[in-house]
Amino acid sequence: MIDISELKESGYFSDFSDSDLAELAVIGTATHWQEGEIIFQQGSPAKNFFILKKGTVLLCFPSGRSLHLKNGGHGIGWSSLVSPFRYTATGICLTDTTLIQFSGTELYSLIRMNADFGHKLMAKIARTMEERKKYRV
Amino acid sequence: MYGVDAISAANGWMITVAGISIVFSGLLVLCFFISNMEKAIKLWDKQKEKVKHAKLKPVPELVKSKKTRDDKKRATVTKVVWLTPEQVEIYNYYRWITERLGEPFSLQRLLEHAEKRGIHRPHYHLDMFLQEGLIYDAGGDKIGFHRWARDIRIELIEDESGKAAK
Amino acid sequence: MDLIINFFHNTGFGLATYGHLIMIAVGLVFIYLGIAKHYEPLLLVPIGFGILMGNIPVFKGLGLGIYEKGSVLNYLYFGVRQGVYPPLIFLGIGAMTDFSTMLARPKLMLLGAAAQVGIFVTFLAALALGFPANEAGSIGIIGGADGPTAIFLSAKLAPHLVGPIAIAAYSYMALVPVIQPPIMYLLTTKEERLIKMSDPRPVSKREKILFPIVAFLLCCFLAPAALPLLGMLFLGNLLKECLVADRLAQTARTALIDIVTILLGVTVGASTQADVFLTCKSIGIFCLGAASFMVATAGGVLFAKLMNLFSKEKINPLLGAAGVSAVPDAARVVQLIGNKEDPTNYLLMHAMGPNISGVIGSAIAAGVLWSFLLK
Repeated sequence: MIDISELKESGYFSDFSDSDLAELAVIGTATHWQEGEIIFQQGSPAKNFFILKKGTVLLCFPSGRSLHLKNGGHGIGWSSLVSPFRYTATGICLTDTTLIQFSGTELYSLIRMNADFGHKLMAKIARTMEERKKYRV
Repeated sequence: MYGVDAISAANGWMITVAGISIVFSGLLVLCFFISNMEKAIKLWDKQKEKVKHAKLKPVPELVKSKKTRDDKKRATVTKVVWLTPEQVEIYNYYRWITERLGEPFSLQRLLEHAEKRGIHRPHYHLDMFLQEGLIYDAGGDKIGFHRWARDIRIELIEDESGKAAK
Repeated sequence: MDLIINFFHNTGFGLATYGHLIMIAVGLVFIYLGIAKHYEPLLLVPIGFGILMGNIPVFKGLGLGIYEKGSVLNYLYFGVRQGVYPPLIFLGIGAMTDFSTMLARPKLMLLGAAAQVGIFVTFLAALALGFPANEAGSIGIIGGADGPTAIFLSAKLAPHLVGPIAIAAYSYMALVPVIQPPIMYLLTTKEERLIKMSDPRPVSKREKILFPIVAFLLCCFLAPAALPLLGMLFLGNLLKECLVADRLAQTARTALIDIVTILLGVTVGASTQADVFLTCKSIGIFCLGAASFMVATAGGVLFAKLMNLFSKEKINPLLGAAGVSAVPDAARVVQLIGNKEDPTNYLLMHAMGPNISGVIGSAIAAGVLWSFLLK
């Protein structure tokens, strides 16, 4: 459980309604990672979706390309919501990092219960996927 | 012969005292050397820096010694980045590794090499170089691969407190 | 019928004695400890199997036994007899060891020196028990808790004792988690065990490169007889740290050390033939070896306490136990005990400093004993 204000501050959900955010806040957990820690490995089952709140994360793709994500507002681990549910990159914390973690299963439950929320979330995920597509090839 | 007599007959006391003394003095000398090694290196760096300042603008050793064609026709310096001696050392190591990897390079491979070689806080330093713009995304069809910025000059901060002041 | 009886007499069944059977049982115990209990499996499995190989009763004169000139095992044993294998193992150890824990806090090196007291106290005890000086020196080095060093020195001073000394050294190294804790508890108070160590300073790459060169020069000028061991140790470390000889360092810390460990383990095991091994001397060696380990542990712990009397920054005296060079087992024991007292106290990396300096200390001690006792 996190505070709604934390979700608002993160930027990723800025266009979501307060009621959506309230539901998200119930299933969100703030997780703290240390510099050098691996958040997830490419190819491993994708169970969680993260929002970068503070710190820097490097997404390393098998193609050798990498994406440097800093400060808040980035969604990480969209594979937890999209088939085949395996992470397509390895996420490494370059600094001490705070991530808001959502269980993929719980997000799915929210999507199932609230279609409007589902549309908005999937639209964001699709945008993120599109942005990162060029890193995967 | 047994007991103290046997020890005395074989010079046991002398060997023991001499042995323990040699082991202790060996490690003590080493301990003294190690304790002062860091200071000596810093002093050496300072002297080197002074000489460099007298001759020309400070450029990290590796960058200076390994000039490429790109360097020769590089753009004018647009930014100055201040680094501590430790950061400069790591910067030089990262440049050395990427020389082997070739540009543009993969950050993942750079990190792997840095970790394998025991570079101090490789993730933190990589992040710092990225944030400072010393390493930038190559873009275009090489998006996600990275290059070293040629238009940034490195300046050395004299002591650690400078880092906090920055 | 006579032919069959003759054949039977020439088989292992016909030639076996109680000694062979006892040694085969010892070999099986080693293999069991290595595989089932994971006690130093990389050493105990080849040594255990070597013991089996050395104690198959064979017909003398066939050129099969390790002590028979021209036999395959005898050729492989050359590396032990002439002290070839231990320096090669040290090369690998150097190439796999990061000395930065020691460089970050050099005063902990003195704990590695203090733990070598065990070597010299045992040397005196062995002399007092009637062992000749060369044998006493070889027995004392067991307290260095360093297998290759023990083999190297005994091969030089008392080659006939290589088997028992190597077996004793490796057995006690495997038993570090059993031998050390009671002594550590006995000599420290709860408050002392709770002492937390501050974070070590970062060590620059240049320091790491300079260290093996200067340390080699300093140590070998002081104790030239330690040259083969320390030379290879520091060369291995330089290969690792200099970055430009990565391939060599990689080979030294993987393939080379593995090959030499297999050869050393098998030949040392095979050298423990019942008639050579099952003697009163071996019992004496085992008893003194155990004592040597205990004194070494106590020496390190007590010296850490002594240092605390004079230094502002207190040292957790458990770190002294890591001064015996059994790397990294002694450091792990320190971590385990420190962690038991306070689950937030992580001593492992601090203990690696004295642990590694113990390797250097025991090699210097071996060099000193060699130069004093070589006839």
